[in-house]
Amino acid sequence: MFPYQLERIWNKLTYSGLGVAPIILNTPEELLEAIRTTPGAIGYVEHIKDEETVHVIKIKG
Amino acid sequence: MSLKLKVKTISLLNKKLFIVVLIAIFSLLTLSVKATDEDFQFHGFVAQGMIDVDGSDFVNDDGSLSLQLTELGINGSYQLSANFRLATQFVYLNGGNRYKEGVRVDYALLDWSAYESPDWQAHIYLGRFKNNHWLYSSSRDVPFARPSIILPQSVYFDGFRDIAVGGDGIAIKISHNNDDYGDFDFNFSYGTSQVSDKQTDIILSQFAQGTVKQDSDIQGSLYWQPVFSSWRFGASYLDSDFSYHANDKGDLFVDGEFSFQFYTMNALFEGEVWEFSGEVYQEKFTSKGFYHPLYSKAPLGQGMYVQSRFKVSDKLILLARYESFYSDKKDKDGEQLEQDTGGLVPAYFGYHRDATLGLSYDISSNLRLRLEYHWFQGAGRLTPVVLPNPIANANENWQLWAMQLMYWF
Repeated sequence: MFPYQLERIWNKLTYSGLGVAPIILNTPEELLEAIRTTPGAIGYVEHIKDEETVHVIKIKG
Repeated sequence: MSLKLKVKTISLLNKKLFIVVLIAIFSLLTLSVKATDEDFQFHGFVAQGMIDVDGSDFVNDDGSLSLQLTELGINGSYQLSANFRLATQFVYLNGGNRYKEGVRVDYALLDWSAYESPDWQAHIYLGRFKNNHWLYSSSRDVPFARPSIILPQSVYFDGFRDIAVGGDGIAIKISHNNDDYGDFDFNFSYGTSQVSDKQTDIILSQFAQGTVKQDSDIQGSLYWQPVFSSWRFGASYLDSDFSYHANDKGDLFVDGEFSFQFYTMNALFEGEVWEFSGEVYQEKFTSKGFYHPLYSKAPLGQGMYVQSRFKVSDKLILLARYESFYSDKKDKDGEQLEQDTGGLVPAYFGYHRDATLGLSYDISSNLRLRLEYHWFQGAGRLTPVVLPNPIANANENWQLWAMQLMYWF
């Protein structure tokens, strides 16, 4: 799946009432902080340094 | 409650990059329901353009350059509990003659996540919902989420927008993810729309003094994406009934009943740089009464469009599309229509063709400029539909260009 397809799916959900798109944060640091403080949260980032407070799963595209 | 997060940089990703998925170590904890920032979300869009039509009254009567290409929207979503959510959107639209100008409640619904497993999800929507059955029906008013400023009019007919855009009632969406056969989405909706006086003028004519009521509207659709495929296929069905109640105080028309059945099949291919989509469809428009008590007619109309988009870069997308439609398959060139009306309605009102070229340029990740040109043949998708206006639309061939700047958040 290409990034533009994800954008389209989320735009369709967000502006048609069908569902809720993921929350978008401005920096990877903000994302990590949100993951750390939100129970059950899942996030996607490009790179990550040693992080011991969260589970990391690498996906090779 | 679970919450999904992502960073903006995902738009910069391509498939060669590593994506790292983080799962919070707290994922087994549950959170007692309380209102947080994450439970409430709001989004919106602003779009303004200019549009110039040469040779028809599609946008305005005098054919001048028009700024009547305004679309504003604001929506909110509030998560009541793990399974219930409230969502609403208000839009302001101004498209000139294309549809009624003004503010609308676009949707206002309760979303019940009725069933969820790894393979199956079911949602039930109660209230005012959007039509989610055709390729672009749910995003037809969302400028950046549709492929062009003006959509293929035979399916996304602006003259019928307020009725086709959604309804008040119930909608169901069931999704199934199957490792062997792919992803399936099934949608069903039942609900009616209120028909405004302006909408009555657009469909019938300003000479119709009575009122139109939508008595029922049932729609269903099924989408299928094979495993690991860039293709998606869909089919939809619509059955809608209307009644016309003549005005006792001198109406040119009598009571009547209209029924509209619409079947579509569509395909969508989304590749890395190329995208193809198309819909083929057949409609049956049954009229009884209205012109006189014994009048009865049920022509079969057919049409299709094919569309291609090419991503020149991350910012620039080119569009090409061709559309063809006729309102009676026994009278594809409209000659019979002209004969039946004693020459009052020219043959070119029997069909509609549109060749479109366009481009869209992303100035930033939520600011886009779009440009397009349309070459039209025929007046089969100009309004009023039931009583055409050959004086305002005296040309078989007409053209349109439009430019629109859109921002969303």
